[in-house]
Amino acid sequence: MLVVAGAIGLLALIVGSLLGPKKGSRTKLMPYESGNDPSGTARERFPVHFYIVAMLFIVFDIETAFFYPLAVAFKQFGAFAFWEALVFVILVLIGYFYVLKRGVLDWR
Amino acid sequence: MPLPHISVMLLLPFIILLLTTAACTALGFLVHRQAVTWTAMAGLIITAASLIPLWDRHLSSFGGALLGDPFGIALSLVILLGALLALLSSLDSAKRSSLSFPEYDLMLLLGVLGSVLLAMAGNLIVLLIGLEIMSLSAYVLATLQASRSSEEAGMKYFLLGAVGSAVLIYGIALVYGATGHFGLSGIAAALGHAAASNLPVLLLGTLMLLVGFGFKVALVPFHQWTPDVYSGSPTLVTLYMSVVIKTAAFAGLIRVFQMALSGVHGWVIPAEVIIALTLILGNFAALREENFKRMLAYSAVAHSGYLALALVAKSSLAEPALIYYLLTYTLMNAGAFAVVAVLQRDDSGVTISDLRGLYSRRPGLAVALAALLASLSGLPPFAGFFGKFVLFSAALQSGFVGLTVIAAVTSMAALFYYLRPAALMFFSEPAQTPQLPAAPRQYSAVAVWVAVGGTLLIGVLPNLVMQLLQRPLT
Repeated sequence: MLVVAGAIGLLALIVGSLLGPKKGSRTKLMPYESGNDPSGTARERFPVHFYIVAMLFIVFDIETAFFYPLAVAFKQFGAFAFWEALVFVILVLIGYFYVLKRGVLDWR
Repeated sequence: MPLPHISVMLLLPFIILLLTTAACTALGFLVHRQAVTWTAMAGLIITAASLIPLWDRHLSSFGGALLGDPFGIALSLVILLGALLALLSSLDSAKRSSLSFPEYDLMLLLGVLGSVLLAMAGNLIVLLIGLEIMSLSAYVLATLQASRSSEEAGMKYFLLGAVGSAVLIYGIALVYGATGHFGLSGIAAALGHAAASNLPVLLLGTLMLLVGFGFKVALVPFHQWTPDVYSGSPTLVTLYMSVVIKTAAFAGLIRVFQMALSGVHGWVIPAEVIIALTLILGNFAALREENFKRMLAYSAVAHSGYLALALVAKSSLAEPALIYYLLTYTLMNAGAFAVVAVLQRDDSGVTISDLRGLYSRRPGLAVALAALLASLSGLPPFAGFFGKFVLFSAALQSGFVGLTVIAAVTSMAALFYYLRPAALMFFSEPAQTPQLPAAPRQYSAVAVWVAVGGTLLIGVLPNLVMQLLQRPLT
């Protein structure tokens, strides 16, 4: 199964590169930046805040992502799910207060 | 929808650890760092107290996903002891390593939480969650100090740890694919009637689990991160990693292989080869090291080899021997690293020649370090001797004669590198007196003497521990 899966992946790459037409134009060769025309070079220095906020975003994004299945199945689980979710939220909330108090969200 | 069966008694240690972590997070902003450490230590002691009543009750929670058997509880107590010694010696040594902020305690507590979860896991998923909590907090701990060596160590640890985890997860997936079970007892039961076409997948999964755990416990050839990470990290973090992480990783390894996968054919010979390589390479590489901290790192690799003898031995003999040796190992290694933390000028540790004539300057520390080194090398009055004896005899009685001979011969070679620094401390006059830091060190001294006293006590009276352990464990 592993071999078959790997072979299909390789095959797709090889066949694609053999058969696919390769006609570059200015627009096609431009770096992709979510549909906008790129401005300036990518080799810039980013404030380290950028990364920290990105990391925090992932944590809280996952927290919200967990609520969707919970909301769907909430009727079946009842009070048990409520308390479990509450524990989870409180734990993340402690982390949030820690972040706030450490001044990570002060943008200066 | 039926709710899972939960035993609150069994969850209590985890709840206490979590509440302690939450409390320490808040306290970190309000009080001095030492107060946070005292709170953390109190939390660890209460957790230990909540574990002891579970000893004979064989509780399990969440349909066997969490097991309160004596094996898990005993190793959890060893983990808590190691963490307590790490926190105790950090009370004075942390300031000089510029580690004296509450995040050290928080990450350590979270690591302990993951470790205890790993030790009591009865299910591959819970095992993985515990392992990841433990590893992630250890990566953070390794990079906690603002220095290049610490950053490098943390990066190396993270990259190789991630590879290890990836292999381990693949192994878990394959084992699940072949048996249809995540629970350890379920896997063991499914092995009896596994279809013949599933056996190659099962063996591959088993070997991947072996490799994944091999990364975590530092078995050769998956040990390469150990010397760099152990010597690059701040000494206090090395202390914690070498005892708590190692105990927990071995708990997971032995649990998975003894409880679930012992019926799989074909992994024992690769395991034997790995153990033999670990014993030989770990001990001989330590012979060449001039930095004392790096030497202890290779000694940790060598000890992984001794401990891994419990992997192949019969489970009724292996488990008490493993627990006894991990307890001993925690005491001696924590003590030895605590001494390094006191003696070092910066976190690159001390060289062996720095120890020259230590007895004339710090007689107490020199005697303590000599005792710990003698125990690490396995000399009789100390627990290291009896620990090696029970491990070797467990392997021998299970029929692994060659492996036992290699273990015995390499531990002879180990005498050289353990006893050379010990001899230097007593017999040589200092050539030019190296400056030792004059800092308050009463807490580290307590940690060191607890370690020495412990190794001496359970070395002279091994039955104190062995009697508890030799009743059927699982």
